[in-house]
Amino acid sequence: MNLAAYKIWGDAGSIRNARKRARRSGDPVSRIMPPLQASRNSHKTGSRALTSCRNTARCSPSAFRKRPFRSTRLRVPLESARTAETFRRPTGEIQTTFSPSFVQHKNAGPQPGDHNLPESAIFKASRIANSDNDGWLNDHAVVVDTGGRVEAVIPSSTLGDTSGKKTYDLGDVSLLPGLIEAHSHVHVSPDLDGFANITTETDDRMVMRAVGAVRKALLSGVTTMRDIGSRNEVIFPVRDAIESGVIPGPRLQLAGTPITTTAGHCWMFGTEADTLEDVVRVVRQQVKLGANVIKIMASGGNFTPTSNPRMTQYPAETLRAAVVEAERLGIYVVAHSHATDGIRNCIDAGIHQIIHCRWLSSDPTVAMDYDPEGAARLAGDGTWVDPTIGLSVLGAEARAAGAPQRRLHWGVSAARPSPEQTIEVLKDMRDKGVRYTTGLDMGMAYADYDKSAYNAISFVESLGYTPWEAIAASTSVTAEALRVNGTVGSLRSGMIADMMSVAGDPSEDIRALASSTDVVKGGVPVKLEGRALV
Amino acid sequence: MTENAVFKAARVANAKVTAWLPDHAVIVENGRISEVVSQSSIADGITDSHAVHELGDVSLLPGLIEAHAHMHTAAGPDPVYTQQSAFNDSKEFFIMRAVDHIRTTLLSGVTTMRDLGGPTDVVFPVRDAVRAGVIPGPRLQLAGAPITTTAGHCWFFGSEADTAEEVVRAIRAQVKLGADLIKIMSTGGMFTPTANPRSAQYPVETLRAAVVEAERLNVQIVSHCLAADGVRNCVEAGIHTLIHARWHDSDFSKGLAYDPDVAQMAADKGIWADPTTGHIMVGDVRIKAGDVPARVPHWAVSATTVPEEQHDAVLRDMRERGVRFVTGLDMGMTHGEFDMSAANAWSFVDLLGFSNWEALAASTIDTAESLRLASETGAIKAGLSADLMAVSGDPSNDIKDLFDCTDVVIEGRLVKRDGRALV
Repeated sequence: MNLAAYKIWGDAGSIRNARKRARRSGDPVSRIMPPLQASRNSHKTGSRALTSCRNTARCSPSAFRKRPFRSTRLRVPLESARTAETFRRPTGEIQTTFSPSFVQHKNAGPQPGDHNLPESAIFKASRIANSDNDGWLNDHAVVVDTGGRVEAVIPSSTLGDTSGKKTYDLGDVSLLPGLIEAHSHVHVSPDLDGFANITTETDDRMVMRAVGAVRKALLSGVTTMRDIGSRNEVIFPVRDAIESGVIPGPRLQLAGTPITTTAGHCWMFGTEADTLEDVVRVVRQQVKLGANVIKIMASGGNFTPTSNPRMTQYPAETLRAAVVEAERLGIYVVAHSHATDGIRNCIDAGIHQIIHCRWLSSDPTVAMDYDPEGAARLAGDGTWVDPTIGLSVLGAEARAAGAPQRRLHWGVSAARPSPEQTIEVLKDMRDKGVRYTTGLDMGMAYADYDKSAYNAISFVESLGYTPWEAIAASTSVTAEALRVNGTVGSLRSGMIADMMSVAGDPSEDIRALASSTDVVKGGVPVKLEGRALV
Repeated sequence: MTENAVFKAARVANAKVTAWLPDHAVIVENGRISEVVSQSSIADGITDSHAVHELGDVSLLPGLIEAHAHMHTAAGPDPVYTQQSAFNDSKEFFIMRAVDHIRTTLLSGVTTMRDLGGPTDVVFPVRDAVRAGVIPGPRLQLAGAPITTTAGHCWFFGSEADTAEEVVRAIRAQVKLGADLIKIMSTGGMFTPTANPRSAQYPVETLRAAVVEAERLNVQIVSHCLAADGVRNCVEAGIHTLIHARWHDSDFSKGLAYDPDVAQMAADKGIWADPTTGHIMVGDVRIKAGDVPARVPHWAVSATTVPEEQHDAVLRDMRERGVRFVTGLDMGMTHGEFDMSAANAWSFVDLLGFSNWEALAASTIDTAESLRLASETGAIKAGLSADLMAVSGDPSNDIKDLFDCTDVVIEGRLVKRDGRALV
């Protein structure tokens, strides 16, 4: 096992556990609990024994405490579940913080024995996306090994002897890599009460919302999700719980709390930092807690009435310091910006990805101040943009169905860019070579956690993508942006077997992507024929 | 909030849960049952005002009532994991488990669940969230933290109280936090290595003080008891429900010390028992299949292990004397998974000699009576909350059909239809 690769979140986890142990050090439990004498997989042979011991002197507390945490719901040996992934960043070799977890959420029926380690499996479908996500392989099968990885994608007719492998014939479906959602806030309620909830609810309540949110996302076909702004107290335990098999959910890449100015955008779940020194310290703190990505608010935002979406929140030097610090610690920075001035600061600072990127003028009477040269620089620098345009499509559909309009922020109410203007600018940016990630801004009004497909839908219907371009954007392209394309985002040998299927043909009608029939995470089905197994 | 609805089924349990009404329909208005009628007597125009759900060839029963859960613990076949996680996990993990578990329970057909012990900073916020509609779950009745002695049974999520004064104060504290009932550990238990399941944890005077205080505050009090001494103390003190009701002798070298006179006294006083045979039966079946680790007995009972048949014989005698049983699985313990409430009825039929209909009534109307919810839920009759569950077979023929839940309705709201979760 590659400990170095495991380092970043692994250490944060150990710190949390160490704290927990420290809190409990006064507890008698560690002194009086009997030692647990069992190897990790001995339950397979029925030889696990809980040896009772009344003599506390003989019961080593360390024997108890050091025993590795293992969920009965994990379907693979702990070693494989904890093996972290390595990949190469464009700027040099950096270890990732992304760990696959092969979670099987147990759904025991009345009959015993449904907790075996995973078998190798075969998933047959009439259409399987090729490894470049630009065409179908007809009547193929994905062969998954016992580690939950794709062994091969081959024509079903050449399968040969399939004994010893569990075969799932998914039938007339389109099987794709699991969707990758680049932008969620799982602790928010995706309705118009979101702001009221976020400012009044307890962390406990947000944890409970998050449990439902990650389940919904997974069952809609999202197998990897980047949360770029949730309370630290909420989101890190949620990831721990998913990785431990306590709850079902996608693989999570996390920012934790976004970094913002005092009273700045999303201060109510952010970490406030006003000076360059504060920002650097907060970047370090987030990494310590387990962040894989830093989110910083370069401008104000519509969600926060005490911020100004047209104005910058940080000078370029401060953003640059955040980028340098994040890169030093092996992760990357995404920045929220609606304002043209904020985008310019991000470009100067070398921010890795810009969220929203709406080019709002600093003059409240002027809607937009699009800078084509700035867009060309974004393209030249390889800066990704998350256009969050799916949210606009969902909002428009909801309003057409009678839902009320979200109240306009005071900063944009005088001169608001029309949807057409926004689309035109986003199309021009793309023409200049800017690449887009599929981030919905889940948790905002109308952006429910099962709506990730609306990223691709909006890319086709609004931005002129071909369906295959949009499918690739939702899978392999966003995987590249999230720096996880070495492990997820396409179906080829060696990749983690994260898959989703839909009944229709999304290369004909992209809206077919919105209704998933089957979802497989790490080779283990979590939804089959529309029925959740978790 | 809920729309008016009609649920049609080939078999609908009658109001006493003793027989089927063939081809009947349950009419629901404002979340409550307004009428149970023959399908043929329904006017066509009802579709104007009611959503009509044709459930088809299913058996429609009152939503099951689960009388004994620990929503925060990790159920499963592995006793080590269950115990270790209950000791070590964070509050956040407990909350997440609980959210997941109660949804699972609801979707298995349980519309009312009594939690008999969990950390107060977990179970009360979870109940609040269910009531606020933030998360799906059954109607919850909570004991909060169980009252136990220092190092006593379940001390790691309990409220430790050693004297009568401390016990009374602990009861008041739980009620203040929102407890609907009190759970007190009158003996040690198998889950806690520092407790002794063969011995009483409280004298009868302390239990009596607890009963008086609980009754003064109008909450029920139920007590965990695995030892004959504990059962006797509970019965004499007038505890309302005996949980487990096992009669281990205080002598390590002996098996049971069943006292029929005490059992008779319990019956005469109208004391209920929760035999928790369901999860034991599930475990036995699994272990016999050789697929899960064998049980390792608690140190206090390992010298003289009592075969399960002896316990069952005692339970049958208690029942013959008139003690009534509630369906509590001990969800959250090993083999007590959260979708296994039907194992209660299964074990009542297979081990305790209930007829299928008696077991179905135990799982619904009887346990509702014991939980003091008979005027709210537990039967399909006019005036009660529309809490319904349907199974695809006929559990009056094969009680195991109760596991095949297809549809669930809680307070008039459909949360599972044709095997698919809607929440």
